Amino acid sequence: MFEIFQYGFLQRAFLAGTIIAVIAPIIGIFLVVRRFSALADTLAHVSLIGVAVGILTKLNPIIWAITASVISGFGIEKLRESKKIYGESALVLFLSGSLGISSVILSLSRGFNSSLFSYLFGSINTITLNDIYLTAGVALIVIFVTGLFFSKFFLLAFDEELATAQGLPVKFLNFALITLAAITVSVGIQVVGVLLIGALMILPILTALQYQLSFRHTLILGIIFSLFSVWLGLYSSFYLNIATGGAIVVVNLLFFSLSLVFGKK
Amino acid sequence: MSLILEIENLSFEYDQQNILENISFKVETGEYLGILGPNGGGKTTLLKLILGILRPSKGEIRLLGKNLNDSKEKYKIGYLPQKINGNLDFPATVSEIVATGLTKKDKNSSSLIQKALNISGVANLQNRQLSQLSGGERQKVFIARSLVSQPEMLILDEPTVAIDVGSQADFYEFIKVLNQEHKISILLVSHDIGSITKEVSKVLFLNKKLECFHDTKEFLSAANLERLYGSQTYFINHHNHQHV
Repeated sequence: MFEIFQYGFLQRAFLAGTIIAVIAPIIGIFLVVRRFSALADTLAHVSLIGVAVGILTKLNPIIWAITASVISGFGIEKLRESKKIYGESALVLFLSGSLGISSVILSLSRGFNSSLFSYLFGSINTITLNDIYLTAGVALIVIFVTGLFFSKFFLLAFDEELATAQGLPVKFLNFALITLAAITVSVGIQVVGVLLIGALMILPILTALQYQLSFRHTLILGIIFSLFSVWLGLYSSFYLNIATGGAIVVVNLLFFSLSLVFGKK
Repeated sequence: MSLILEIENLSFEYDQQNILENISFKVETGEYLGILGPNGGGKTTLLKLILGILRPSKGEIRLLGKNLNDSKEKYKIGYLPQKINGNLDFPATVSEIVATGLTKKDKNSSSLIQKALNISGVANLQNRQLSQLSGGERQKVFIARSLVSQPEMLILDEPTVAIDVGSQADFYEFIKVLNQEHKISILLVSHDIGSITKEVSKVLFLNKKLECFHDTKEFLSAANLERLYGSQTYFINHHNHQHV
């Protein structure tokens, strides 16, 4: 069972996967309860622009993915705040727009290549030691900032007007949360892929919500589901030779289906 | 008596329209003040200015003698909004919701939460989720939330909107206890003249301008009401209460 850990690339995949499995639900819970789950998917698609630029310029695609998704995150929040268009429409605008831009860049690089496939669906083969350092750095930032502002993010998620009345810096907190979501998505695409990272942020929380626990316990249970889904997904990806991201999402779907039967809701 | 709130020449404009014009009044510590006025008369805007959500175009608000913008004691105002915009299916327990009212967290936090839950009569519900409560119970949870930072003044914006008629009398009784036993100043906003005048000691009538600021008896004089509402006013005595 543990012989797979003799491979360096699998050790790196498990390490990166474990880190991402912890931080994805930490951000995901705030997106779910704010009914903003689609943001994760939109940011993931936007990060594809960064991946495309990375492939074209042969520079680290994850750094470019972080840059693209953070800038777009600010753009989405500004548009939502200005009320020029509905928040949901802003997400569709960025999602479809970024797919268009990234396909143009990729066609310039002549490349719907295997490297792109691994960014779309996740891969256990491509994670380097530098990627691990980057993922760990991002995780430290996400955990530190969320820990610092946890009760503020909680109130903001519950009722923005109450948060304003309490004197919270609502604009700053919204931008902070969207930035954390953007960097989490960008590092997450290494393992789960652009098309499926949104699911890792949202599905474990949806599963945990079926047990009607307190907010903190929902988050803890969400992290547990996320960790097991990543570990089982990586394991089956190696032995069954299937796409890693897909395997992780299928395990998550299984947990979710069981929660519908055994949950309290 | 000391002053908790002073409003001086307060005006607020939005989109080049006067929403509030030159409002001045004072609230003494321990007072139970009602704010009445027609819809669109600026009641909620006035509350948002007092809470610091909006900035006045002109004039000044002083909380405990200090300009509101410079005050570090904004937590001394508790607020119960007209409607909780938040998702009532929110996955949180009553204790977690009440804790959001804390302005800082320290070792006293859990005893403050417990005290607020006890005063509001919802200590037995602390581990329940918000979605499992009735409208009246939820309203008490939000009052507990506004009490947790130990405010000296509580602002209630149309607090009985989400409560069934049968529970409204209990609710007002509870507010009276907060005012008389816990010495919390109350600022109660409503458009319902009948219920508000039974409870408060002073009434402020707002229709963009401050139309009057009297004790309740004087406010309820027929001549005054006819002047404010522009129609004939009748009083009916029922169960020792005067209904307008």
